[in-house]
Formats: sequence, C-alpha cells, structure tokens
Amino acid sequence: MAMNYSSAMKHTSRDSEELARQTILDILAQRPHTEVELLRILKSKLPDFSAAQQKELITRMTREESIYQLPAFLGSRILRYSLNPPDPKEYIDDAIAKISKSLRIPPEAIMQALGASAPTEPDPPKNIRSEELLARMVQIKLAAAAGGLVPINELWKSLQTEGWDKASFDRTVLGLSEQYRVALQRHNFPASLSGEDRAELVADELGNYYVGIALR
Amino acid sequence: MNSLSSIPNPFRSAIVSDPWQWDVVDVPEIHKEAFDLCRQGLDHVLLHRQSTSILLYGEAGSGKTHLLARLQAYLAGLLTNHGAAPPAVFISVRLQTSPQMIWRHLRNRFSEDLLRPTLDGRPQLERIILARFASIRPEIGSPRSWLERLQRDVRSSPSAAEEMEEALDRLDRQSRLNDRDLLVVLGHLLLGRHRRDARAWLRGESLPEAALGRLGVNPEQDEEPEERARRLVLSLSRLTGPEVPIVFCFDQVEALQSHPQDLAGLYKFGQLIGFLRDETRNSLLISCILSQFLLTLNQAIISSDRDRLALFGERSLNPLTPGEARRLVEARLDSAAELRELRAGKTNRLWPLGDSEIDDAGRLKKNTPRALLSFCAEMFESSWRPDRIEPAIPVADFLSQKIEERLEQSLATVAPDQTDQVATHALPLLLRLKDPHWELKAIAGLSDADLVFESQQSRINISLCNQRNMTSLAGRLRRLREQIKEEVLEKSTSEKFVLLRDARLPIGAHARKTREHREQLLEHGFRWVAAIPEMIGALDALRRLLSDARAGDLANGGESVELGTVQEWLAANLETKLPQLRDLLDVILPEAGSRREEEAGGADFEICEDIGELLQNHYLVSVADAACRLDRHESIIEETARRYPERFGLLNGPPALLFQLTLQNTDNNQEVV
Repeated sequence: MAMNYSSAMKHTSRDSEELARQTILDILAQRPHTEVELLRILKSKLPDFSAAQQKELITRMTREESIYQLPAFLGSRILRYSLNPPDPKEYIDDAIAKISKSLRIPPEAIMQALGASAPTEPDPPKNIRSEELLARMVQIKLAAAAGGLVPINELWKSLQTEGWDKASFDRTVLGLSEQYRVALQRHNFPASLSGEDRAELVADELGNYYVGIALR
Repeated sequence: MNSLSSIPNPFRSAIVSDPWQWDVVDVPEIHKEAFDLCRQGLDHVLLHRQSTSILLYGEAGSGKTHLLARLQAYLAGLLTNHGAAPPAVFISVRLQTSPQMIWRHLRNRFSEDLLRPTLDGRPQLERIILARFASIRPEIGSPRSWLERLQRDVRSSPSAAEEMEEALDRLDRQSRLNDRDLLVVLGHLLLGRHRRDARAWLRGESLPEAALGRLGVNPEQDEEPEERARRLVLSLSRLTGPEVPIVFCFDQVEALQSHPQDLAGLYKFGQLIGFLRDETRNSLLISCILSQFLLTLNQAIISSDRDRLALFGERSLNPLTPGEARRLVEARLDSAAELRELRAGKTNRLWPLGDSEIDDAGRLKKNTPRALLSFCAEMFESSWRPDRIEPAIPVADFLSQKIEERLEQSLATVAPDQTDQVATHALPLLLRLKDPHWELKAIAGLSDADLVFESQQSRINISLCNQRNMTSLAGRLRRLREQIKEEVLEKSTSEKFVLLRDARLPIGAHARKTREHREQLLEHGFRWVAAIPEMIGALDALRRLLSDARAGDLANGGESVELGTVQEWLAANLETKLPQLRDLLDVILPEAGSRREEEAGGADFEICEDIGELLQNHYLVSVADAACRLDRHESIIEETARRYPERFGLLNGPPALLFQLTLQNTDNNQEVV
C-alpha cells in the first residue's frame, strides 16, 4: 500500500532519530563526553539534525535513562554524559586529588584522615613504594636526576624483579604524577602497539598509555 | 565596543611549525629548564671550545618546535628577558630526508640558513665573515664600510676583487677551510657577483657547465656527493671561528624512518651527530624527538653515538602543571587586542574562561600546550557563542584538505634542484604504500643506481639523472652503460632499471653524448621517466604528510592523527587524490608498463626535450618560430604540445603560441665532451 506524505515524513523522521540515538550511544560507549564534545561530534556526524534537535534528544535520552548526565566534579561547572550512572569512586578520587593538591599533602594522608579502610594486601606503605620507585629511576638512568626520561617498561621490569606487582606499580606511578613529583609522557598512538607492549606501560582511566616518566 | 560574539577565538591557530617563526605568544616559564639547558650548552661550547649535544623529547604538541623558535629568537636578540645572547649561528634541520642524502640535506639546510637575512637584512653568513675579517685584518676599520666600498668598486677596478681574495686567503690560513671552491664562492657572495649561482653552489645544487665556469669553480668532481657535502659542512663550521658557536637544531628525527623496522636512517643520524661532535669544536647539537621514539632511537644507533647525542644533557618537555596552564591561557587572552577592553577591570584573570575550565583540562589530561589551547578554544565557543561551535572534521576530510594544501604548496615551491631529495625520501614511502613488502636495499651491482628496492621476486633500480651539468649526466649514463655491459634487460619482468629525470630539465640538442648514452641504455632495457612537476609535487606532498604524521605534528582539532590512519587513507585514495603517483607507479613497477612511458622514452623524447629547452630560454614562442628554430614542421610541434599538456602550455592561435608552464633558470646547459 502506498504511504501518504505525512506518514512518509514521520517514517523518515523516526529513522533519523533512531540513527541519532544510535550515534549518541556509540559515541558514549567509548568514554563519557562533555556536552560540547558530544554536540561537536554530532554536528559532523548528523549534519541534517539541528543543534536544537540534538539537545532535545539528549535531554529526552537522559530522562529515559538510556544515557546519564554526570554531575560536575568538585569546583567544576562542566557536565558530562555517559552510558553509566555516576561512579562515586571517580568523584571521591577527584576530590581527594584536589584536596591533596590544595593542602599539599599526599592523597594517602587524606585517606587516613577519612578513616578509609586499610589495604587488603599487606602492601608496604605507599610513600615507601613511591620513594623506592623514584630512587630506582635514577639507578636506571643517571640523567633522570636532571630531568631525563626513564622508559616506563624498563622501570617496571626493574621493579618486577624486586617483587612488585603491576597494579601497585601503576598506582604508585599515577599517584606520583597526581602529586606533580613526576611527569608522565604518553604514547601518542597506543593503538599501534601490540597488547604485550601495552601491558608493560601504565594506563590511566582515560585510556592514555604512558611510555616515559621523568622527575619534576 | 567589541563583543565576545564577534572577536576571533584567541586560542585558535598559532602552533609553531617552523623555528624561524617568532610572532607567537610565549610563556618563558614553560619548558624553562630545557631552554636553560640549551643556553648552558652554548656557554659550554664557548668556554671549552668543544662541541656538545643535547637531546630533547616530549609528546606530540608538547612544544618542541616552539622551544627551538624561542632559542632562535633569543640568539637573534629578540628576547631581552634572558639578557644578551652570545653571538651564534642558528641552523634548523627538519630531517625530512633519506639516509643516503643526509649530509647533502644538512649542507643544504646549513647553507640556506647561513644565507637567510637577519634583522638588519643581511645574511648570517655575511655577519660572520665580516666579524672574522675585523679580527684578522683590523686595518680595514669598519668591515661593513670596507665591504660596501669593495662592492662599489668591483665592477670598475680589479683591485677590489684582489683585496677580497687576499682577505679570504688570510681567513683560510687561520681557519684551515681547505676548500678553494668554497673560498671562491664566498668571494662572489660577499662582492655580490653571480649571486644566484653562488647560492645554488653553496646549497649543493647541480649547476650547468657555463655557470660553474662563470663562478670559476671546478666542474663537478668525481668525489662522492655525500663525502663532498660532509667536507663542506666541516669547512663552513670552521668558517665561523671558535668564538661563534653554531647551533644545529635537528627536528622530526622520526621522519628518517620509512617504516618501523627501518633503522638505517637513524643509524646514519647517530653517525652524523657523532662526527659533528668529534670533528667540530664549535657546534651545539640539539635533537628533538617524540618521547615514544626514544626506545627506537636507542635501538638504532650504536651506544657511543647515543652517548654523543646527549653529551651535555637530555631533558623531557613535561606536560603543563596547572600553574603553567593558567599562565599560558592568560598570556593568550592578554595577547588578543580585541579582548583587551572587555577584560579590563575583571578580577578573574582568565576571563572569559574560569579556573574550572583549566581544572577540567588537567583532569581530562589536555595538558600539552597544543591540547590545552584546543580545549580552551572549544570552551571559549561553548561558553560564549555555542552557535559558532564548529563540527569536528572527520579524519578523512581533514586528510583530504591537508594533502590538497601540501600539494599546492609543493607545486609552488619545489624546484628541480630538490628533485633528488624529494625522490629519495618519498619513493620508499610510496612503494610501501603500494605493497609493504618493498624494501630499500643497499646499492649493489650498479654503483650509479641511487635507489634499489626489492620485494619477494622483484627488484627496481632507480638512477636519478637530475644533473644540470650535462658533462656529469653524460658521465653517469656512460658509467651505467659500462656497468650493465652487454646484458640485455629488455624482457625482464622481475627487475626494472629506471632513469628518472625532472621534466623541467631538458636535455638540449647540443648534449649529443648524453642523448647517445641514454639511447643506448634504453636499448638495453632501461626505462626513461620524465617526471613532470605535478609528479614531483605529489611525491613531496606525500612525504611531508607522512613525516608530519610520524613526528606527531599532524593534528586535527588538537589531536595527533595516527601514522597508520594516514597510510591507510593514502593507500585507499592514491588514485583520486594523487593520480600522478599512480602514473609513476605504473612506470616504475616491474610488472607494469605504460603507453606514456614508451612514448616519452621513445620517438617523442627528442622533440619534447628540444621544445623544453627552447621554452626554458624564451618562455613564450610562436609555434611557427619554434618550428623554424627546431627545424620541424609546425604541425608536429603543435601536436606534441597537445599530447603533453602537463609539460607545455599551448595557446590556440592564430598565431598558436607555446609557453613554459613554470618559470625556470635560463642557464645554458652545455656539455664538455
């Protein structure tokens, strides 16, 4: 049966909305995005879908809980959108990092003050780990003392022989970076690395892989 | 009063892509340690009269080139906040070259930068030599006035040239330049004679016999060109004297690789650094690489050269701290004249942005200068004029735009003298795009082949024949003929022998020996490729795009575009975006052949070269006149021009006119037989 003009229009607009919905879900499947990032990508992927329509759809999808609006971090105004509801741990970590920075004390001290639960493993205290790692950097490469870069995989291999596990190595490296005691250098094209090579690097929650570490 | 909706976004653009560019906003605190290390290195060279080296690394967008630009500006006396800079020569070398031409590339860049005008409009070279004259010949008084007098007198009085010669002889005795031709050319440059040819000679370009004769230098010798270039670099280094260090800045070292397993270029680079460190006494060698490239570099170069690469120190260009990020954003906002009125009296120094945006940038790890500025550009739009948010450019569109820009730029700038450099760097990249099995091999067998490629069962030998000097070209073709002896290569489907010459360099009718040797080589199965400017331009655009991607310098909206993505896109779009390269592949690949190649290599060759030579000298000629001068029928001339529109311009008459598509030097290409 032939479709009349108005139902054809409805059909077309339903199809384009489906496409827009799927596009939003695909984008957010990669990682949470700010509204600006999301609108910018949608503008290029869905040029026929106006900005007002996009905003309206995002609002509707948020209401339907097919996507979530994440509240801004402490001291920030920027909202993000995600496929998952807010993760309290992410906010606590961010808040601790900010308090640590503002009070100039290590995050561990804040955790202690909060009465956070003790580590499940009998790990040595984190500051001892940190100092050991920093000392090892200079042992591996003397130039590290003057700002030279130490390859992360070499540092990991060296500490692995001392009984370190990868998870605590990663935590210590990222923690030192948060405190601005070290600077980490990313690999700009991590997708070009093999899984084996990537496993020797340190990754953060944003999907960055760090190849080098330098003292600040 | 301006409103935020109408002013240009202060965070867009202004990424430093050339160390000679210094019209940008600078925050001295950013990468201060690395900058201080460079200054200390310079002091070390001056104090100890010993060359040394520094290695700098950082992520893509971390500001490596910006730091070199800061150093250049400091040496040029443009940065007063660091105090007066010692006199030094700044040389920028972007390593977009092939391993077999690395010394020629350095000679070219060294000469180019020495000839670059300084703030007073005079080249660095002149400044250096006059300072040396002042110290070794104090009796001349003001060296500038002395030179101006000689330049005035040289046309009327032979004594002016003699006086210059004597001064250069003294300089030679003191500096041990040991290079007669260099001294002769320096004399011409200082006296303002034969400037174009003298500059070309200094850069290492091939010159016709007549030009060499005018300059009074030896015709191109038998000396191996890389060795000649290395010797000249050493002589130029001695020219500045111990009191004036030379700062060599090597950028885009990554571009020396044609694929991840190709370590030959890096090995050669290590040797070059080691040689300059040991054989010169006044060089500061600064090398910049991507952090992720450090392990590759360590693998590729021998440990003693690796030590020489960072003898004075190495330094990582770290991600910005929140304080540095704030200062950079503030400096950008302050530099925007249109914002000044609006920002006046605001207590928030980051207005129209705020602290929270900077915090967010840090949390999202937008912490290199490039990423931060791109993030702030977006925040600026989204906070104040969301209607002007630009859609993200899809990578394919971005690459399409970039290749078109580069193609246009290459067509406008790449001269025939650069064809060897372009071809040796780009051909390995092009063949790998076509088939990753193609490997560049060491030259064996034909010593006059410049490039030898192998892939499973096939082999390509390419000899570059871009000499302007017909005696040199005839010599090369003769040697090739001797090397292949009586071997007949005609039927070979697995091996190809290619002679490639820029079509802008016609082989004139008087170059009889050259034509004869060429003919004999074709009879032996060699293929002749007359590479049109579009082909050379496309090769240049290809290598520049890939080099930028390899070094992390190709950014789309603040994000580096991955090399693999660029390679895939190029492989898929070669036909449509760079069709000239598909034509080139058709000619050089062993299994392929083409109609045009046969024609250009066969009956049309002589008439094409004759017309090319005629237009090189006269630019615009009527078909009737051309027919008369070349002793051919008008219809033949016109048909040939129509058949090769990429080589000749033709205006339909009456009278029909031939014209040169690009303006060239009008040197007389004479061979000495």
